[in-house]
Amino acid sequence: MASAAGEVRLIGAWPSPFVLRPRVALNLKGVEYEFLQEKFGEKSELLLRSNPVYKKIPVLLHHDKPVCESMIIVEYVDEVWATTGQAILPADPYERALHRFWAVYVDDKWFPSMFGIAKAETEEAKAESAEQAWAGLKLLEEAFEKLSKGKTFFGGDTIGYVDIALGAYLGWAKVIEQMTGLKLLDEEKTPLLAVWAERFCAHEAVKEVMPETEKLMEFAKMRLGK
Amino acid sequence: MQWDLAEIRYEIRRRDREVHWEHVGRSPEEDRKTHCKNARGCRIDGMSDECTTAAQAFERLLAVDPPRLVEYEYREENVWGDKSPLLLESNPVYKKIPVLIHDGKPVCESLIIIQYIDEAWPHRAPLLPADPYARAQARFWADFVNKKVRLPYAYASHEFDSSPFQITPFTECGTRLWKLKGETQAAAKEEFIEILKLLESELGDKKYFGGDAFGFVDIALAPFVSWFYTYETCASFSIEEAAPKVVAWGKRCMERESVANAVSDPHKIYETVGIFKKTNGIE
Repeated sequence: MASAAGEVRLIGAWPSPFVLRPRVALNLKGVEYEFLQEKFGEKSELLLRSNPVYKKIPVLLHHDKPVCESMIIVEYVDEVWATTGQAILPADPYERALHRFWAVYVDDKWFPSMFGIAKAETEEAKAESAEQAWAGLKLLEEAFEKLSKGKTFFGGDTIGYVDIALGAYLGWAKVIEQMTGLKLLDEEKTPLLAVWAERFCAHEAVKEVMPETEKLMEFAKMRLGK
Repeated sequence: MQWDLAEIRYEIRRRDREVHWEHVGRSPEEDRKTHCKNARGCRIDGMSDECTTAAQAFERLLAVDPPRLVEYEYREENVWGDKSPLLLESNPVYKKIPVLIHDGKPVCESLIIIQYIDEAWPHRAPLLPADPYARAQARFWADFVNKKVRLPYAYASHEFDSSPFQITPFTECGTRLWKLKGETQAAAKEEFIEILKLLESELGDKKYFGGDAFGFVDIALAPFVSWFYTYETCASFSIEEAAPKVVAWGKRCMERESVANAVSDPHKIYETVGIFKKTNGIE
């Protein structure tokens, strides 16, 4: 569904996994939007004005009204464009609660352990973070089995809420794998998720916005260099 | 983290015309008899000890207002001892309370539980507004109360993970107000005042964060009001000075029967914190 020019704008930056989330949601709904790329190292006036509490991206501007926090934006997109595209959250209240739970888990527990691998200064610390990340993925593998009901995504036949929450990190997960030599999404440890990851990245709504691993690697090196 | 508090069990015998809770002291047979046909096996696993962050999370549920004509069985968890098999089975990921069990299916994380209640019983008074933009704002602010500041120590701290309670950075900041002294306490105070000012600005001149109706954000924040006295006294500052509208809002919330009956008495909390500090050698 096309929207009038300027009606939907997204303030973000291409490397950010959090920004990826609303982009996938908007793509799933076929909503046209203007992407406002933030300059690295400085925050625009518009961003500071639109998200005074956290001063962070992404921020969705719909008719100039800001919505902040990536998964809150995803839910907003799902509700506003409820009649177009596929539903991102399921209809059943219990399933919705499960999707919300796992999305919170991904951000609160799994992401810090993945990030911990990248930040680790000793081999020991790296191994510990990796163990935690794998343990988390095992839980997510079980969640996937339960929520997907044998289908392709956490959302079933189509990309859903948890797919977006977890899938957004896949670009950076690949970078961490390359930098550390560790395999995060291991076909042996979490076979279902390994397949899911490929399908998610290949999906129409995702592939044009998921950053390429090489570009992310370059970006990471540049940021680390600073 | 072992909170070696003096056992304070509150006898919760409140009968609201629409919401009933059964104290764990009753026998299971009596509990079953009191199940209302509307509840369809709805249980809340929580705990009644006054002075804990878990109570805050749990109290959020009880502050759901107006009462939803949902009868539920309240099951007290003895979190100072071992976690019950039911809790471990229902929340294997975090092993924390509260947990809502509806028709045998568990729902965890207090804000998720509230949204679930709102969606599972949609014909009762809504907790979230109808308009998607207003809903996004409500979710944002409830989330803000839940996780304002992610401090590295909150993740690194062993305390954070081993605690049976859903400790959020908001409570974590508040905890530093009564636990610490000197510079670190002063830093916590500054942070806390900043949080209050943001909430003050968001509340503005509205009756509740939800507007005229008590809603999601109000539920998220209301349980913390009972802690204001403790924060103020331990850190020597006035919350009313920093955020008079929030304080006035807090008083309005306490006038609601369902909130007043659910939350803890501020002086009792202060007393219990005092006991805890003494027992643990904290000045």
